[in-house]
Amino acid sequence: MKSSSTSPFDAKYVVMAAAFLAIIVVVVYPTSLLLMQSLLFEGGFSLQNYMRAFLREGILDVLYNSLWLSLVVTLLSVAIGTPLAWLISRTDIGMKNYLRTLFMMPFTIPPFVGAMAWIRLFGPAGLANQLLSYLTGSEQEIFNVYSPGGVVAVMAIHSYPFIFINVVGALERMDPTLEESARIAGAGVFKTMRTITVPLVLPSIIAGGILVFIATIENFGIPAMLGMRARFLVLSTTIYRLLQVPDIPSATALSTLLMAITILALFAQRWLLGRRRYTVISGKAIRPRIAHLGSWKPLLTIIAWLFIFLVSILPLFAVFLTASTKYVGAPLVPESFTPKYFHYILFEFPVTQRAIMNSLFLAVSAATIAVFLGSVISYMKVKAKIRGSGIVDAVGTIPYAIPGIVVAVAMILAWSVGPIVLYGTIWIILMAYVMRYLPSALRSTNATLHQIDDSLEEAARTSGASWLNAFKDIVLPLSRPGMFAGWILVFMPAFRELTISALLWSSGTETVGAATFELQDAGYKEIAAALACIVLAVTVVGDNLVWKVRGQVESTPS
Amino acid sequence: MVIVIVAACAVGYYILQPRREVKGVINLYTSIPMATATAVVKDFEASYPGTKVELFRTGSSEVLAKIWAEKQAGAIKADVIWIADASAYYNMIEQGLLMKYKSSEAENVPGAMKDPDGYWTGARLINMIIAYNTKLVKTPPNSWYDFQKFGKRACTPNPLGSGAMLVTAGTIANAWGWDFFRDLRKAGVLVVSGNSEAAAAVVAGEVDVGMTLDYIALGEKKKGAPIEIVWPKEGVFSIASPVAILSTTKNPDTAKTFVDYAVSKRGQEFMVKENLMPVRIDVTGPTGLPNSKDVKAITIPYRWIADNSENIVSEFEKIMLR
Repeated sequence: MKSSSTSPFDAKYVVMAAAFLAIIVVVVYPTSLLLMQSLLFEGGFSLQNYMRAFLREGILDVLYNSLWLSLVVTLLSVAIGTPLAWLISRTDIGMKNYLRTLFMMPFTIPPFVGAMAWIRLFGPAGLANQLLSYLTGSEQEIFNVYSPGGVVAVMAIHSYPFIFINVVGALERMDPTLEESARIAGAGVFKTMRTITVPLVLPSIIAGGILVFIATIENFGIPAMLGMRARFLVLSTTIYRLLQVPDIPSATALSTLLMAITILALFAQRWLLGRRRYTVISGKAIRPRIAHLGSWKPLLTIIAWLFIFLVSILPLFAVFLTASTKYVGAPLVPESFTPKYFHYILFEFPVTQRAIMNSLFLAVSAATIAVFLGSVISYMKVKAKIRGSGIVDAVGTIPYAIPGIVVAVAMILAWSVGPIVLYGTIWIILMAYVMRYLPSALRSTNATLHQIDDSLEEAARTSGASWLNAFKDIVLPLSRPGMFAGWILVFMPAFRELTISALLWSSGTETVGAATFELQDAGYKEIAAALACIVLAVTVVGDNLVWKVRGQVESTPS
Repeated sequence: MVIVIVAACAVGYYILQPRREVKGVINLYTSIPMATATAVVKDFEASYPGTKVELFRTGSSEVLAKIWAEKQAGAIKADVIWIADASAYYNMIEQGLLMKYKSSEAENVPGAMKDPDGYWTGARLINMIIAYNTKLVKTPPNSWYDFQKFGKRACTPNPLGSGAMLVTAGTIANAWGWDFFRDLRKAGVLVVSGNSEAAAAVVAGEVDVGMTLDYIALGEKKKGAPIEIVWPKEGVFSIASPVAILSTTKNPDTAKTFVDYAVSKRGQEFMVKENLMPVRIDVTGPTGLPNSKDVKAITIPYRWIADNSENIVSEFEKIMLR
């Protein structure tokens, strides 16, 4: 087809058709199969699977657990994240840049690694209990992270950064003259806060809160590691167990239910935010009025740093300690320390070696494919403005509402029978990752392309450049930094992914997440911790890169 | 000319070389703890150069679920299965999933530890025992009924994750009744996923006592951890974890070689190094464990467990995890 390179019209449609086909294979096919399978019973359509799933003893408890857990974690995250955001953006507390980065740290630590750390710190034989019994002489165990309360606390610690970063953003973009007017009109500090500041940041809190709610209800690692000993089951862990049994029909029914909850949450977000559209948060960078903490400053500074020590430094220390002592609970004397577990996972143990390579391969491939697919679709929508491309974009965004564990179930249904069997291979995990992270790639590529002015490409076209050449010489180079940012934003979560790979891994296709989880679950706490240290090293470096790249993108004039 | 021939030979060798190795690849699906399984596989590969074992290690039920899923998908990837849930092999035989193979090496394995038709051979003798933390427990239990006295300072593995626990729970339910577990639940006994985790919880002092397997506890003890084994007066749940070949294997020769190795003198001596009791009568067991002849074993109703395995798992969950 020579014409496709000379006629821009054809090329565009061929590319778009290919992108649409890819979306159908990656998103539409597995999702619709999941919905269909959940309704199929003995060859006919019925609600039997749902009935069966709901009639299982204890399933209502599970649903109830999931809902209250997510609600409580959301409220707690707001309660932690909002004051911290205020502290950073509205007060004269010192060392703000450090505090800001360190407050975001729990976001960098993968939840399942966090769970391991909190077991070591606040488990029944954890360091906190040891310290207390050493100090008080009593054998009573005070802390037990293997409890519903423990699940709530660990989840909240990993979730509050969502709220924090959202509220910081809102406070920094807010027009400070409004607050000042209120003050001049005679309103006190608290009245101003209640009538002006809070209503203005509320949309950001709601947006972040819904994200926390969804992230909590779909989280698998924390309830899986901490919940079982407390007999605390939630939807995600129940689906996982149903697949182990295996009871696929009930698993698909519960997956559909979980998906319905996240979709409802997203609608609620849209509804709540739609009614409160405030335009007073403008893009202008005006220095807001800073509250002087005065005599409170030393106390608040100490609290802030203690908080950071507790939620960011201690967990890292705990994981490193577990990885470098002979056995968990060994006396903390020099003879107990050993580098052998690091040596073991890096040079001796094929499973962990493979897991590291697999996760790198999966993260690089998923990021590349998702960003490539995202760029094509975004280009068609934003630049070429082809009719129908909006639909492709919307369909590509669907997985945003699909929890990871549901993506995995859909993939099992789609690729374990039929002409193409991918189950048991690394390709099914890759396919799942592309589906999972496509919405994120679409969002960043959409934003990047919006920043490039149409006139540049038009100028190239009027000067005689073909569509492909204009794309290659104008659009591609200009969008490169944004694309890279989008790539990193897929790479990072894909590298440390657990939920999907825990269900889809097989011999030879272990990921670092799945391997860490399996090793921890099998009682190899030291080896699991050593692997977790590697994951942490990559994520800490990577996330810092993300902030840097993001900062650059945001500060590039469009 | 000579160079060309040499080069051609080299290229030919290079092309043929990997193929010969590929021929020796088998997939081993097992519930043997990761570190032990990896070590065994390494020793096998070293004894038979050119062979390669791809290891898939997870709990017994998950191994079975995986094989089930692969069967549904139309292609069973596993060549050899070696899990602790000995009852599962009955169902696999009935479904035609296993291949008969009577290894000549199995002559030294007592008759009770191998299938009379040759579908499976016991290759790893494991005992469900009670382990306790020596720093925390002053008077160790000496009966299975003492276990509940430790309440939430005691833990058992979950039959969903551990085949040995499935066999144990089935035997207890069959012989002593489910009330045994109802009492455990009333006392607040915890459930962890597998035997290694149960041992790890005892070692770390998260619990005082735990049901776990003898060799895992012994391995921890040899690392210097404060753990000791109890051989309860009623006896222990002794399982000769069977190794078997899948009938769908594309590589029966290597699979058979692996079974030979597993029950061979070298294989069993290697098991002993990993603290396991040998299945062979001509291999001495590890220091720290009694001789297998002297172990009082509770009779296990394998057939009954095979027919009721799903019920055992769900009944256990219903009692212990709610």
